[in-house]
Amino acid sequence: MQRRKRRGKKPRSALNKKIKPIQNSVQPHVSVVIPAMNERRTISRVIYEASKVHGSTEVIVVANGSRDGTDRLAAAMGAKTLFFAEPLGHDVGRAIGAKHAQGNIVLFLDGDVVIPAKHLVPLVRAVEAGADVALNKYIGPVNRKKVHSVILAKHALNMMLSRPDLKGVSLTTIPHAMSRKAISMIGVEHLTVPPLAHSIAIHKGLKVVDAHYIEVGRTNPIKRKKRSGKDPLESLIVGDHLEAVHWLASHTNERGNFTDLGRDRKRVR
Amino acid sequence: MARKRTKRRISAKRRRPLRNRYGRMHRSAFQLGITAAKEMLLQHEIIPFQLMDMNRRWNHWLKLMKYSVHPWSRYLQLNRSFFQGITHQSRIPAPHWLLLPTDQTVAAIVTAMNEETTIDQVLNQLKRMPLTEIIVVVNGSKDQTFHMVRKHADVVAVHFNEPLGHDVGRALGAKISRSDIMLFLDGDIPVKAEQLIPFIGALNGELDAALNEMTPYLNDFSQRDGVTIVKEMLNRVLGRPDLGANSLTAVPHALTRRAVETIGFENLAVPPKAQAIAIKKGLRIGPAAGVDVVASNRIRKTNVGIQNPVSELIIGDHVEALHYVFKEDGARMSYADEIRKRNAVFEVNV
Repeated sequence: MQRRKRRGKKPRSALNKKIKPIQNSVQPHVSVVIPAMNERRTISRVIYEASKVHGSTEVIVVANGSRDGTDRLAAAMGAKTLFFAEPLGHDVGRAIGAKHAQGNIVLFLDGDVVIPAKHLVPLVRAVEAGADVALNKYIGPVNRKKVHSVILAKHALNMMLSRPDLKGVSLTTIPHAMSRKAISMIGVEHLTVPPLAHSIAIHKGLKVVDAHYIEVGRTNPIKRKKRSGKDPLESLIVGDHLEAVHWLASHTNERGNFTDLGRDRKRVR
Repeated sequence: MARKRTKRRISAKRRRPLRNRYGRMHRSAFQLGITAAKEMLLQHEIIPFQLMDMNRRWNHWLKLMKYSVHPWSRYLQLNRSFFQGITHQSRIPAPHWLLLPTDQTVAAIVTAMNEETTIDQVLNQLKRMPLTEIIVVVNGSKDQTFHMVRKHADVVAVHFNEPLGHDVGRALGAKISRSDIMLFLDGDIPVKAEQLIPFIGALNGELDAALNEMTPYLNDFSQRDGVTIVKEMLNRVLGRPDLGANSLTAVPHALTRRAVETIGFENLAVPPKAQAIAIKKGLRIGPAAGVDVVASNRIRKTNVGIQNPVSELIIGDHVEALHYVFKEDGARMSYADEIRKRNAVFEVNV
């Protein structure tokens, strides 16, 4: 295949080359987990911004199913890179990254969304200040009559968890940060289903706060859906929320510990 | 002058064919009223038994005319024409009666707890129609509600000293009823009989469960309360996004006997669960008409604020409804995640 010359412009790779490699801390205070699959365009910048959130940081890239050299770029940037030839599927990378994380605070990002470090610091600070889970305040477009199923599910789940104050704030949305204690109480394997992790955290009484507003709408996965047909990602995330409600019902009672206001049900048997 | 004439000419042109068609139907309804009054030998006043007879003739006529029920405004106008015919022939004033768009037996089931201020209005509206049964379940009332209900002839009053809890009265009323169609109401929200007709009409072959269409009364999503959000979520995950936030939790709604028996009487006490069962078992469920009950809902100690007991109860009902579906369809229902390799987490060693 012949590559077309981009005359008068810098070579595409220069965007990434300009960025200086980072230095992972040996005893990190903050670990940043970045799952990535074919994110060559953005990965170096994501790693660079992530490295600046704290003086003592390690960046872990979970490169899975990449065919565009994302893993090589990440390694060249000095990030700790975990390589998986096959795609792991949604959010599994987060859990694997969290398993490798050594810091007291773990910050979760996505390989395709470049967020300036100044917007990531408030999340880390919130955990330092005592929160167990610090979430992004972004909830997507809600000033309308009909909203996306994912937004609806997030709101409904918070209602069922008795956290109406969180509205649609969710662990499904990146970026978010959590303490080591939170990860061990939630169970690292549950991070593969973020709404489930969200429910466990709230149900176990961890301090879950909406820490900082970071606009991720344009790059949000629900916006990247295909033009035609049913959106597979939408039904995956809705299913995640159902799984979370199921967990709640099986760890409380069939009403999620909500009041029955003295219903005399036996009257109608 | 010129401006006025142009305006009138256009509207007359548009309306003429319509008016003629309606006119024929109206004359026919008027004539039907005259015939009915002659044959029934109406004297001083119309008694409920005669109203039933009229309802039979009325439905026979509707079938003859191959009358399509929509829009309901036209139905109500035709009904008025019929009673004008009655009055014309018999000289009995009958301005407020409303005939039903069905031959089947219809019951109204009203639950009431301390509703002495509104129960009379509710019952007076119901008595305008030839209902087979009016059942009022009075529970935990410390006021005059029960005595006021007893004053109404032809109303079945059921009384419990203790409060039965939310929606249990509905289930009990349904169990007592023998009718083909059951209309469910609350004692604190008087709804005009005209607004109830579509709920009964929709169950005449079109639907098994007729819900109150709340969509027009909803704000933007960001302004909605938790109850509305979980209602919409339940419909959406059950594959019925078209239902919006319409729910059996809201009154008025109507169910056929087939629907009630498929759902199970005891499940009517938890309306969202009843709704989930109805959808899962393939009952035809949909909106019949919109009655704004949000504005007229009484403000009580228990239903004010973000986390009030009633909203917690209803959210709990929705968890219970989902729990029922989980038992049938599994934790993710039809929303699988095969592409996710969960076990990869356990395979990784650090």
